[in-house]
Amino acid sequence: MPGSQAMTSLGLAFRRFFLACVLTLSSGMFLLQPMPAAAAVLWVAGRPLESSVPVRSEQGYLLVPAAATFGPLGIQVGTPTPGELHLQNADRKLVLRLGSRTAYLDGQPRPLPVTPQLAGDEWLVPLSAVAIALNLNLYWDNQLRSLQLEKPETARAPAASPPGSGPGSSSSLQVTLETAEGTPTLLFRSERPFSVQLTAPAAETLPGPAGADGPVQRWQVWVEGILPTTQVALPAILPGHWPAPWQQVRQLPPSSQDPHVTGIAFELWVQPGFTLTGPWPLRATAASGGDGRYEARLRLSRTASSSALPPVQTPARGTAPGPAGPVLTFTRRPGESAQLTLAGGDGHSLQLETQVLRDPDRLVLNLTGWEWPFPSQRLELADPDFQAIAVNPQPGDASNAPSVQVVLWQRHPGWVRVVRGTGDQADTLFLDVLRLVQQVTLAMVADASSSGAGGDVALRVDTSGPVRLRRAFRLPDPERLVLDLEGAANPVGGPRLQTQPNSWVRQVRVSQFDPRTVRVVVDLASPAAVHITQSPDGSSLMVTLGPPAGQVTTIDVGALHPPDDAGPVFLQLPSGTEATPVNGTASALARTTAPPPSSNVTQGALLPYPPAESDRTGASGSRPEAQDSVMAPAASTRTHLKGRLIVLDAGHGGRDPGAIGVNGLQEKDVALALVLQLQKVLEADGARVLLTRQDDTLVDWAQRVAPANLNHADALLSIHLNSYQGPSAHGVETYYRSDQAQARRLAQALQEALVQKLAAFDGGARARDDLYVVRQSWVPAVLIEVGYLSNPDEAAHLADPGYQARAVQAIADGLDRYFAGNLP
Amino acid sequence: MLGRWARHSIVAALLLLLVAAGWWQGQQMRAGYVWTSGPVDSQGVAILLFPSEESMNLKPVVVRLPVVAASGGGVISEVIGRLLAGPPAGLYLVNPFPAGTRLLGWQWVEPTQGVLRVNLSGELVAGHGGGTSGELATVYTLVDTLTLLPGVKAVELWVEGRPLDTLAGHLDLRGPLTSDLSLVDMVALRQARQALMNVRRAQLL
Repeated sequence: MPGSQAMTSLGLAFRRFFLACVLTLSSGMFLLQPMPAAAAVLWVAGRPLESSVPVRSEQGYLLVPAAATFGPLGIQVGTPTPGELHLQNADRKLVLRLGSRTAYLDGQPRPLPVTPQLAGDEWLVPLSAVAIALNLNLYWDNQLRSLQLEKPETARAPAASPPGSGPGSSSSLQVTLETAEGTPTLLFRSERPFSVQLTAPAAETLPGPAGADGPVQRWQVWVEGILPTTQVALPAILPGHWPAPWQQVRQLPPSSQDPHVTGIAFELWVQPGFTLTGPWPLRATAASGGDGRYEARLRLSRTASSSALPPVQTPARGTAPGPAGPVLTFTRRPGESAQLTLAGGDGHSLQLETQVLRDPDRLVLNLTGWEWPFPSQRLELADPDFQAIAVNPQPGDASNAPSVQVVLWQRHPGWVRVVRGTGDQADTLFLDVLRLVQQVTLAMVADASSSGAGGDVALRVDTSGPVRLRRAFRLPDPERLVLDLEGAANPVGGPRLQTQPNSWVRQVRVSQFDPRTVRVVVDLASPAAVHITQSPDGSSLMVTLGPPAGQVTTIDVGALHPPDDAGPVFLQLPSGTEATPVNGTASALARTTAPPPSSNVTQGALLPYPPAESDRTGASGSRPEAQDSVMAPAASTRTHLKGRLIVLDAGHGGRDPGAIGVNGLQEKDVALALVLQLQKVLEADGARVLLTRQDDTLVDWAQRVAPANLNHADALLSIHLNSYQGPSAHGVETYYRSDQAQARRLAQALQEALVQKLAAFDGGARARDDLYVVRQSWVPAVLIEVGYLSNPDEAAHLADPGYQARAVQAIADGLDRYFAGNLP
Repeated sequence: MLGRWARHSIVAALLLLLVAAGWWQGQQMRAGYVWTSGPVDSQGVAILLFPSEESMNLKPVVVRLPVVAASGGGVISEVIGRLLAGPPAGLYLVNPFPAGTRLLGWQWVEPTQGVLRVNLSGELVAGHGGGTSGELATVYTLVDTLTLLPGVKAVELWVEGRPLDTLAGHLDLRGPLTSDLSLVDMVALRQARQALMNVRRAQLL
């Protein structure tokens, strides 16, 4: 009995590992990567899923049509009894029941994240759970932006061609895209010699395929020496998703079943403005590569002979072409703003609402008054600022008019300024990406222009480009003024301005608060009235300090208003509070619809990133900034953290306080304080750090692991404080996933360092597969319980900044040792 | 060759010994618990697991169930009820369930497959003290105890009639959980099972 239970437990743990990987995949993707519905989210056996029933997302999990998804992989899908779906492959049988969150794999129960459903006759089943149960490979291809479902490598029968059927009988042909010496190149590789030739030597110009607009060049390529039965690996890219200048590459079906045919035909589609070049013309014989394989290349070059680049125009059009249909055109001329033209509607009735979303950075335009009668589609763009564009029609209902959502994925972080054309350009949007500002300089202006009583001084903060004053707040004890400048990146350990002794400012510090935000902290010598003005172009802040007049800070956000607006707006905030002055203003601007008639281009809005707040409590007393002066960074001996990407997750937050200590200490606050200090220490050691939360907000489970997974972080540390039903439990514990050897080493290194540095009881590095954060992480992940808040002694320790600082140093040391690799 | 009387007296002595052992065990039962016990019993004895006071480790406690509860589903209700009521005093064990937590019901999700769905009241979440150890204690006290009962292979935890994603933010509770014996004091559990066999033998006599 114990044996069998242990086996069950082991088996379950093992399966949970796979579950963990793939559940994260699906949930993470849907969280961060809302795909247009029509783009194939799922590819099965190297092809986009073909089904009349669309893939559905429920609670972040993908539900897929069972027969269409698993049938092509050779899995028998049947419903022997109503309400029960049987999926059977060579060695496993999975039974799912309608409305049940439990499935049976060879008779053993296993959980499903969501219940199977019926859509017409087709069963919709949770993809990840079924894929794991049936031992299929499911992975997220970040470049294709789709999930790939395949049979495991070992199960793929290599005997695609009958034995002894002539040349190429056991060979494969691999077609890949690469960029060789800056030239887009299509590469053919095989174990057998072959030659490539163009059967239609002149490129014909033909109507584009579905999803493209305008003529593309279509070439036929014959690969001689490769049998039609050969397994061909084409780049797994959706039509419409190909990186420019390619449009599509596809294999043509063999023209006959003649066994003497010894070649394969392909069709290449190339976007306008490009043509194929040699090794050419007509015929290229594959040369033997170094590894005994043969390869041949087709290169692309631009047709335009002039040195000026032609405008790259990427129009998107629905599948029903027609002169009257709407056309969305993305145009970019070198050195100019990107333009988005929405033809086919009445430009003046267009209403625009914009959002900037992060991770990945993307601009979302919601357009009403313009119709898109075609399915959703997405195109990759050859643009320096924007990676891809998607158009999604949003059907209306009783309360909402139908609208169109246009999503533009950015290549790099930055603001997007959306400017609407007027007059005959009313249907054109001009898009400017303002890149992150690289430089922040500080200067004290000895005698501010407003020479009020008591001798005002001013601090000038200059940036090499426009930034957004995301928030400004004051902290007491000691008096500090904190300014967060968003859209700015500053080198690690930025400037520190030691001012001449004056009555108001002791010193000014600058640090990188998060990847986009520079924090300027002004240490005030005495309480002062603060007035902040931003220059019209957003590149300069003037902070004027004067005698206190009721502890009021004023922030002038006039810069963010259109030039002809009625003047600056002042926000007043008392000491110890914060304001997000520009958010509402700018959003309101972006929603403005009626263009003033005076100039051609009038409306501009700097779109702010929404502050990452879902559940801000607004309590300022326990703000983490209050602890930012605790760490006195000692000279570090850690040398192995440089360049490492580490994701720090402070447990709980917002309305979830986590454990509450016997002394009233809340887990969420201590965890956040530790994480913020740790961030500084790690960054000082040269590591890159991402935080899942940086203030008192509640973060979804999926958001706790997604930054690590999607950025391929080197480690994910989830920082928690423990609690138990009895007061005597104490010590440090570090949890990891049992099947991650790296995570075990990481956990052991951290545990050892913490126990040593804190002189705490060693609760051990423990394997657990049922903790969400470690279970759903693809990268080495640990959950650290730094101490027990339910134990009076440890709770008192954990409230001590010195103890916290030691814990932070210990974690940094443990990470350093882990990355150094000198572990058992 | 022993005489007939001798053989009879040996058998009688053995019987007496067994009866005495049973009586002794029975006395222990009446006292509320014994430290040693066995898995499940049709005779109205069951093993409960409770977390130790000093660290996250589940210890077995044998309880005698009322005869009426000893058949069918009554055992499950009774066992959950006893768990929620907490451990007997004086054993250095703690009650991992927040005060006021009630059993709202349970059902077989899939009777033939042994998945038991336990529906507890909202106090379980609202009153929980958090912590990974605290969460493990609560969840696996329930799961490991119930999976000791015959026919229970996995437990799904619901609160107020709804599935629960997590209790305190660490454990992923979406779906049934099977037992985790790594959290159980296995030496004590083995002794408990052995003792339960003795009890059963004694009761059969």
